[in-house]
Amino acid sequence: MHASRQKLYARLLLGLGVTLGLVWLARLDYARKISTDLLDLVPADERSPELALVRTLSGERQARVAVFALKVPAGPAEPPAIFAERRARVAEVFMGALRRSPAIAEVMPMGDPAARDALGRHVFQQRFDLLLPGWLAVRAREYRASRASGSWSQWLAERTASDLENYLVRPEALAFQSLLMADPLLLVPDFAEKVQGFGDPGVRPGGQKGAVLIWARTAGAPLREEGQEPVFAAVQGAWTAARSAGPGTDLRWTAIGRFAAESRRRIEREMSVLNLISLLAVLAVAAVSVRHVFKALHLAPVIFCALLGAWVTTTMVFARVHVLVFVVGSLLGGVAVDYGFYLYLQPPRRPGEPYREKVGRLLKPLLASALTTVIGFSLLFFSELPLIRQLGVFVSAGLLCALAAALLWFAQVDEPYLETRAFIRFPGVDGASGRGRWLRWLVAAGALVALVGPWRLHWHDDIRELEIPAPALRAEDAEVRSLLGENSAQTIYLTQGGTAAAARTALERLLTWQAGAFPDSTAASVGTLLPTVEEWSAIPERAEALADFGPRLQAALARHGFASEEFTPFFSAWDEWRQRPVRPGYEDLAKGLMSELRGPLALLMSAEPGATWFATVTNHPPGATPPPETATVEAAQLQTLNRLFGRYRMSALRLSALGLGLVGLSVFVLYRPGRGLRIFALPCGSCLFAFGVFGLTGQTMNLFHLLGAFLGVCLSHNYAIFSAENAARGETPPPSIRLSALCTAVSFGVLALSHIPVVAALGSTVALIVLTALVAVELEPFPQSVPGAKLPVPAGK
Amino acid sequence: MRRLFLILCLSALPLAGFEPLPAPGPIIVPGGGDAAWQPLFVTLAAQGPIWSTFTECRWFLFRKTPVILKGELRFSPTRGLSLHYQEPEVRTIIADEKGLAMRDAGGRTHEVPSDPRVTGPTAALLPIMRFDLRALEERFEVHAARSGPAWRLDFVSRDPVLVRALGTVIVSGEDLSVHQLEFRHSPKERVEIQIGEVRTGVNFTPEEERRFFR
Repeated sequence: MHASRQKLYARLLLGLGVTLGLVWLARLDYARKISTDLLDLVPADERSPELALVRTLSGERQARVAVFALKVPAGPAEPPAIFAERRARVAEVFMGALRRSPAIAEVMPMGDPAARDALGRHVFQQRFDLLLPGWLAVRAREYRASRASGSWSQWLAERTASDLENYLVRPEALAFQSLLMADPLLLVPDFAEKVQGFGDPGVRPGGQKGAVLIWARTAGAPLREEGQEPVFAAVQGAWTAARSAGPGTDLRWTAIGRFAAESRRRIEREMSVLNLISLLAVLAVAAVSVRHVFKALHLAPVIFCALLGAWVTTTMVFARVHVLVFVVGSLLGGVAVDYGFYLYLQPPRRPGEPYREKVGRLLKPLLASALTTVIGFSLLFFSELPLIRQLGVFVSAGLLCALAAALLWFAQVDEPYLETRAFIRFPGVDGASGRGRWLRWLVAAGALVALVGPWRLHWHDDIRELEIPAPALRAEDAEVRSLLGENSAQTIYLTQGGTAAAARTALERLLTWQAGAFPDSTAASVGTLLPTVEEWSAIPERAEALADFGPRLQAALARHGFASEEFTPFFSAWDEWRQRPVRPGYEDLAKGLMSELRGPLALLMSAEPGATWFATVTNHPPGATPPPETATVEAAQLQTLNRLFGRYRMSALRLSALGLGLVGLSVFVLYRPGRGLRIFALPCGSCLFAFGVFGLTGQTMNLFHLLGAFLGVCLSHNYAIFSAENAARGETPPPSIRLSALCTAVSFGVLALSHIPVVAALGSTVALIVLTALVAVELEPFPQSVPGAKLPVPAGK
Repeated sequence: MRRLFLILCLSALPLAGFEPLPAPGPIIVPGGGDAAWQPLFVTLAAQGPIWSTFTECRWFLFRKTPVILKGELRFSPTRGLSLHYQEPEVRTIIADEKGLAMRDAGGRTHEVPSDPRVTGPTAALLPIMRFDLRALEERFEVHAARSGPAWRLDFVSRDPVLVRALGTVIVSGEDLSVHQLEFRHSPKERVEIQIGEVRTGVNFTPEEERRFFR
């Protein structure tokens, strides 16, 4: 093909690809496509029930809670009563302003009895459906155990009157005295005693310390931008109004949406800064390494096309991509530039060597390095973790695009050769010299580190490391929680099921486990307001067997000193309930209960189609994990997610090991076992050395160190191939390796400065591995096939 | 038989010996009649820690006879109020700055939600037992009546929720002694706490403080 036509085709292909890519990106709805939601990092169809539950929670009203602590300063010598009144007025102004905002769905002062009253009314009205089945089941067991001679109905009436008489000596009898005439079975008082743990969730007596605590539920999803900004505006407006009513009023508040918004803001800022620093660092390396700095700009299109291809492919393949993929993936530039360097820095073999001829001799190592790396990263596509899958596609697509772009771009450049400075072409050390022997000792020391250090590694995954810490917000959150009087001696469990019946069955198993594992502790769950499925289905039969219970109870009450005529409200309700022709379905019973849970109480249960869960509050410290049959997890989501991330690390490790095996196999096939082993030893040895350094320095490793190691191995694998190819031609390692390794090291070194711990882990691992590989190539060059190493001499020189 | 009758009569003497005034007195307000009552309040407030026995009679609308409970009352100006029931069940109720707590015979304590409908009379008693008239007048409408050595103070909360929950709190006594506390919803629904033996200015031992306060 004629050179001018070759240039034309190359330009056309490049232009077409770039145009299509830009059009695709221009048409994207970035708000929908790019996610900053931490939970998008884990699979939507995660098989672990705990994560399914966490996902459910994040979308539900439980995640929409915002808690405010309003601090109104007292005036000088202001009488307490007047101050209390003024403070209440300011709080009312604040709440009123929040209520008027469409971004806020519900507002109420903490400790407001309205929600509890509403639930209490419902429980009282539905006491025969909700509480009687369980009460009858317990009494029936006791009756059978007592082997009493009297009838069941007679025994039950006598037992009821006796229990009521005993109850009246208890302190709480005074609080319930107006209720007892309608509830001599003590259904509601007994339940009230059992559920004291969630009577006023989140607030302990004496916790408020002078602040007015306000609870609110936001209307929008807190992890999405549209659910955040309107809330912030509403809060700011309400605070302004409160300060008008009470000058000097201070506000502390916490909500998941605040953390999510701050995390997004910081990641976006970090992304811009890191990219800029990385670009500047790569340019700086290029500027000091090549003779004509401006000619180095020819490498920019290669990086641009790699990133463009990676963005386009990833956004095409995945419906939703986490922003962290782009933060980490943006450093693809450091890798993509490898192929450009290798093509551009190789001098022509003879003056006027056609580009096709040059490509022909360089294509094998280029394809070998690119395809083996792509094979390795493609395996990540089979990971369970969306983030790893997305990274695998991003890097694989980016590398292929980088190779294609490098081949096409330099095909249309008049002089596709960039001369490096002398120090980059430094021939390396002679292993036989005194200095060389000293350096060999250095290699031996490195080998020792690689053999010993990895055994000292400690692995731990923490999902919090995926985010940039926001100390100010955390401090404010801790302050609000301390005002709430958060109780560290409590454990909250979440029990789930596909239906209310399944969840209630699981809850019963949890309560049985809890009673055995913590005999001295108590457990309170709103789920116990529902009878078990067995208790509910036994009701028709049990009601039938109690046809004469009314008159028998009246007689028993009279015998125990009660004025039985005062219990008319109970007997009327009892007869009405017994004669009711149709009873509600079990799921309807659960929905009815859910609809009566308001304010903070609504956080204790959810009855959505396909998923019901109950919260259980226990008075023992967290730590014990309920058995799987309880379908229960601790509400402390961090520990749950950390365990899952640990599992994902093992999955990534298996895939990486498989990928590495494939890479090694490809090298053995392409370069025969002897040479292949030598090539493969370089990246593996570099990786082991890096792990050894981490192990000896006490670094705690996580999933992202592992990913970084995989990336580093693939990169150093390139250096090994390029070096081996040159050695086969009787040449010293190509200068492109040094330049490429330095560029990669600085770009990933920049990542190591990230405030996101996992990104820093990735950066430091890759930088350390590539630098190790570079040093290894320099200190232990591949044996040359042709005796008498010679420097690659540029054409025309 | 005569001996048994004598024992019963003697044990009933402390109760039978005191008859509270039948009706509430007029409202006393700061600067408007409360000066005459200040000495009583000051003296009662200065008694310091108190220990006494008590008998509590609970009258329910649906029960023909009262339910009777007996126990010991401890009041410490710094630690709060403790009602230690001994009969028919052992149980302690503690009202202090943190709120209200119940302790069972096994020593297990649980806090009671701060709703006045749940905390009931004991929590309401704590500020009254301090007998700080100025502070009480902010929270209650105070009625006072006197007849000879007998006196009666009626406290009607200014909070309607508390009024519905507790009714009127009536403190009755003679000279400088409190003899009876009463929470009255209606004549048929009320709680009378009759004070028996009293010791004022007592020093509670550390063991007592641990058992009966928190």
